[in-house]
This record gives sequence, structure tokens and C-alpha cells, in this order.
Amino acid sequence: MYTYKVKMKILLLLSLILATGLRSKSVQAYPNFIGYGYTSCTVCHYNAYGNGPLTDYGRALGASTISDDRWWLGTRELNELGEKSGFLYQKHMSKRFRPSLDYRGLLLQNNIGGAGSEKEWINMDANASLVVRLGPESDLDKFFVTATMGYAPVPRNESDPDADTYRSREYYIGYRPTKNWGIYAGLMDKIYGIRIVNHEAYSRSITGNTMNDQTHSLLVHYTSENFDLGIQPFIGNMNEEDQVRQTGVATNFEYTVSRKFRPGFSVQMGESEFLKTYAYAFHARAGFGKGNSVMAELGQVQKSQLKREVEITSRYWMVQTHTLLSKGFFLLNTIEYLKSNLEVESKNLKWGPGLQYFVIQGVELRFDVFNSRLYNESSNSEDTWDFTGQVHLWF
Amino acid sequence: MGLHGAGAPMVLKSLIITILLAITQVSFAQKINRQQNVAFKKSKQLYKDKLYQQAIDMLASQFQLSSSDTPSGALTLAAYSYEKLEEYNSAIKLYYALIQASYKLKNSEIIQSYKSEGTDDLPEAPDKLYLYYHRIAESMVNLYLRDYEKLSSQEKEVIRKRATMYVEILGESEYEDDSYDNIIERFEKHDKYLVDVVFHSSWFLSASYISYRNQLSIERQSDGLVVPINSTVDGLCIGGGWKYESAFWEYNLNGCFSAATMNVDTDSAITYQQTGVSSTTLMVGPSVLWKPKSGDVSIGIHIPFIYNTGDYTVPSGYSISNDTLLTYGYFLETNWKLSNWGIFTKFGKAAQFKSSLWVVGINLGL
Repeated sequence: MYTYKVKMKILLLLSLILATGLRSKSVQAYPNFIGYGYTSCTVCHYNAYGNGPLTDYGRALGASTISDDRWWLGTRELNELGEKSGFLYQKHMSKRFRPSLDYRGLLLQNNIGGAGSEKEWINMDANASLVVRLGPESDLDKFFVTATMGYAPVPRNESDPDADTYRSREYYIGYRPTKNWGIYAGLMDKIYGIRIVNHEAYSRSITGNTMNDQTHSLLVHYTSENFDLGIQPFIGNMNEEDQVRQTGVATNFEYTVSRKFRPGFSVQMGESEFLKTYAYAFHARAGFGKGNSVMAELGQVQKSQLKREVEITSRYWMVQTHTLLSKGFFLLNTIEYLKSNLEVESKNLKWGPGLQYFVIQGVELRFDVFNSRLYNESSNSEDTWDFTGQVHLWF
Repeated sequence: MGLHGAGAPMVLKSLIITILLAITQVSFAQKINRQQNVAFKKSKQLYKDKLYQQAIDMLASQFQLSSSDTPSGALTLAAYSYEKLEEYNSAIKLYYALIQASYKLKNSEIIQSYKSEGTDDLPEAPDKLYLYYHRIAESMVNLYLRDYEKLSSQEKEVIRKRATMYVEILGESEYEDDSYDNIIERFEKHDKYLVDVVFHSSWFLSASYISYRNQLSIERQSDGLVVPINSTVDGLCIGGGWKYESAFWEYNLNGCFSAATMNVDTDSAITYQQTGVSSTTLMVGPSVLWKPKSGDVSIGIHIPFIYNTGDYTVPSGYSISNDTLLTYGYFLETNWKLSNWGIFTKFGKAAQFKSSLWVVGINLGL
């Protein structure tokens, strides 16, 4: 087996070879929006790997193409919808500043029909963001600073009961010297796997990429019509205790086979005083017709507890499908698999049919049912059924 | 049908431009009496007010609309009104009358050249003539699409051939309104639509991952105590089917066979635990699927018959119920097709099974 340092060097070398050996033009968007032909996130988001503040193009696209427009008062004309996609449905008041507000609330009913079933409303996120565009007149987004601050609930697993309920999940400076290259430095998510919205997904939780796992890092990103490549050395979240901060590197590569098919892989290596993590995954995103998509990710994670010399290898896969029933209205299926320890004959499966509706620009409703099933060699347990109803507002 | 509406803004633009041209012409090019002039002005107003039939009636009260000697402004306004009323045959006749009246020789020259040498070296023509070609082609495609079921195959062929000819002539000209570009596309879209609505059948193979939970019970014969047995099964399911589909609907009969292993146990008064129990399942049944965007994605229901049997070890003095059963299920099915392969999911309930049954897999068209 390679040592951790050797693996890091191989990863960096591989990334550099890929980055320098290939070249091309520009592209666009958002994981399942490959169904609309948008392969890359950079045009719609300031963050090169999605989430966080939207660019003007992203806002206009959300208003005109993604959201249902039948409830919009006044107009269904695309240009006008785009023009009114600014902060609080207004035209942009300033070309240099892009403020935004974002809220996600969740109604959770766990273990439906089972013991201890509870209903609970969770304010998952309520934040304000500001992007300051510092680029030249010809390309204002060439250089920018962005920061997000807001309410964040204390983690439900009680891993950190003293955690602040106000935090910033993202602040960084971004520099895009050419339309292909982007360099970002600050606090942001790691660029691992497919960044699906559900932070409780096995692919995000087992790999340490859930809601509060942002890290201070430097992200170098290259995007082209043919591929996207990101390399992200990280040093952990500086607001956390030294001992638990993971330092390491993440990389993500995605290749354009066709306008609607992108396979890729990602690697993430990190180490703290207690824990060493090495995760890698293959993924693919495919668009079908208009708006429909299938995304899949298969990955493996090695976690070594350094003080106890315990190493556990987990494996997971995830398939998420989006079926566009009418404009803004999707049927979802999320199928997840997790074998949390390859040496133990036990595995978890989760099937989550759901509905997602972008009612108008800035309003998203989502309803999911999650049927979880545990396979165990020594015993069988009942399936669990959970329901979530979600409201997402962004202005 | 949406096909009729394509290119409408450009058509409108050209109509307005031409009306303005025609209006100026009618007053000066030919002598008309005062009553005719009043009638023409009233007709223009009626046209603007979208009272097309009244506009035609007003024109007909003062002009011979069947004659090519009638002032071109009146004929043009009548032709546009007929287009608006979707009386395309009448509109086409008037456009031909306009051509005969003003561009008989030039038209003949262009058509002869096209017939002998195609679009090479076509003579130049006045914009007005190109405009009439455009309007004729537009009226023809609208007629073709609307009356497709009523037209004879010979009529369809003639209409399509002539419309194509005019579009090709326009394509070689300096004519500025390029909305004629979509006329051929509209014929082709209609062809595709006709192919799509026709049902066709094919066979396919499938390989999938299946997961379910049996609902069994074990009975102690000495005292009749019955307790449930828990089981969780997953494995591969191999099969295929036959489908009958159009661009909008798919009906299929599909099935798969699964030989998997499971662990079973109880969590109550009777202790029963067994690992590696073989479980055999056969699912066969019809699906009805709707294609929301007449494309590659479909969603619907699957109602299969399900045969399931497990090779349980029955301890002496006990009996196991439901170790073999024939039942049915109802599932939500979704399919994504890319070329001749696809991905599908089924999620639902099998009667006499516990909780839900899941299938996710790929299929390959033969």
C-alpha cells in the first residue's frame, strides 16, 4: 500500500498533468441541471462547484428556465422575467454589489408509524450573502469577494452541543483571470463527488462533506467545454479546535463525453491529530430529453483513527433521478447504499421518492419520503419511513 | 397544434410591411372611384380591428376579388384576411392572381429556371414577388398541417413540392424576411410527429437490483403460538420484456427472475434464526407509462404477479406459513432511455410482503 504522503503526491501530480495536458473553451451550471444541458456550475454560481450566491446569469436562468412561470404576476416574457430576477425581484440596483437572502426550513416526521415518531420543524439555514464584484467594467466577475452569514442550527447528532447558532459557511475571494481558470481562497465546501442538496445523504455524511464541514482552502479550477478540473488544498476550518482540523487536498475531475453525459472522479485526503480520511469516488451525470437527469456516484472511504490504530473502510453508492413533469416540477428518486464497514456483513439502503417544485423564482417546495432498510447478518430490524417537507426561499 | 404557430411574429411583421406598401399602391397605381376608396379604407380599419370576414365582405362589395384586374391593394388585403381566417386556399388563389397581374413574365422565368436548373442562376425578382412566394409557401404549410387527414396523397405531394420550391427560391434571393426558414422544418416536424404517434413494438433485456422483505410467521404446533419472522432480501433480478410504444405512451409486459439469499430471524417468544436462506422470486406483469415530454423519459405504473418461495429450514414441531406465495404488487415505475439502453426504477408494495419492494436496473433494447 502507498503511504498517505505518496498518495497525496500522486494525486497532485495526476491533477497537474490533467490540468496542463488538455485545453478548450467555456461552458456552463448545477448537478442535475445537466438535464437542461448545463454541464458546469461556474456560469450560474460564484462558487465553481455550485451552491452559494448566484451570478446574474444564474438568477435569470432560475427565473426564466427552471422555475414555473404560470404563477408569476405580470409577465411570462423571458427577458422581463430575467430582468426581475435580482435581489427581492428588482432590477439590480448596483453593478458592483450582489446581495442575497436564503432560507431553508424543513418539516421532519421521523419513523412514521413506529415508536417515538415525532414531527419537528427545523430552520436549517437562514443567511444573508453579499458579493462584491471588483473586476473591470468589461468583466465585473473577474475578481470578487463573497461572504455569507446566518443562522445555523446546532447539529442534531449532538456532536457539538455548544456550536454557535450563527455561522458563516462560506467566505472567499475569487479571481478568474481567463474564462477557463478560476482561483478561490477562503472558507468553502470541499470539491468532492456530486454536490447533491441533501446533506444527510450517505455520499456526503460518510465522506465528511455535510452541512458544517466547510474548510479554509485554496481552490484552483479549470473549466472548459471538454472537462472540469479542480484541485483544493485545505487546512480545515480555522474556527475549529486545532486537533480536529483536517488538512489535506481534494480534487474533482469531470469529462464531457457529450453535452448531456459527464462521468468523473474525485479524491479527498485529509488528516487531523485523531483521524485520517481517504475517500475516492467515480460519478456520472446524464441528461435525458429536456430537464430530466440521472446522477450516480460510487465511492469508498478509509478512515483511520490514529490514536487507536483502527482503520475502517466504507463503501457507498447513490443514484438520483429527476423527471421533469412540467415546467419547474420534478419527480425525484434517490437511492442510496452504504456499507459502513466492509468487514461486517451489514449495509444500509435508503429509497427516497420525492417531489420538487420551483413555484416561482425564489420559491422551492420539496417533499420526500425516505424508506430506510438495514441488512444485518445477525438480526433483522424493521424498515423506517421518514417524511420531509421543505421550503427554500432565495431572494 | 403548436406546429401552426411557428414563426408568427415574423409573419406579422411582414404582413404589416406589406399592408403599408399595398395601401400606398392602391391609391395611386390604379384608378378607383370614391366609393371603392371609402370601402378600402373601411376594410383596412376592419382588418386592424381583427374583423377579417367583415373586411373581406367590405372589399367584395366594391371590388371583383376573383379578378386579377382588381387593384393589388384590395387583393392583398383580402388575401391577408383569408390567411387570418385560415382560409388558405382562398388566400393562395389571391396571391396567384396578384402574381398574374403584375409579375406574370418574371414569375414564369423564375419557375422555368428552377425547374430546369434548380436554384443555380435563378433570375432576380422584385421584393414584392418574393413576398407573394413567401405568403403562398406559408399558406401551403398551414393548409398541409391543418388538413393533413383530408388531403389526398397527390394533393399533399403537390403542396409540399411547391412550398419547398418557393422556400428554395427565397433562399437564393436577397429577400430579407427570413421567417420562411422554418417552413421546411415544420413539414419535417410534422413527419416526425406522424412517426411518433405510430405505435411500434420491440423486445428488451433487463438486469436489476431488487430488495424486499417477506412477511412470514412460524407456528409452534404444541401450543399454536404464532410469531412473525423477519427477513430482508436483496439480489439481482434478470429478465426482459416486450414493449409497445409511441412517442407519448408505452405499454409493456416485463418480468424478471431473482435467486437471492436472505437472513431470517424472530424477535419474540420463539427463537428462530437462519442465514443464507435462498429466496426465489419471479415478477411478471404489465406497465403503463406516460412520456411527459414525448421523449426519452417515462413514468407510470407496473402491476406484476409475484411468485416467491424461500428454502426455510422448518424445525421439528413447528410450521412456517407463507413460505411460498403467489401474489401481486403495484409500483411506481420510471424509465430513462438513452439510445437503445436505459435505466429504470420501480418502487412500491407487494401484497403479503412487508414494507416496500424496490427495483433499480438497466435495460437493453434488442
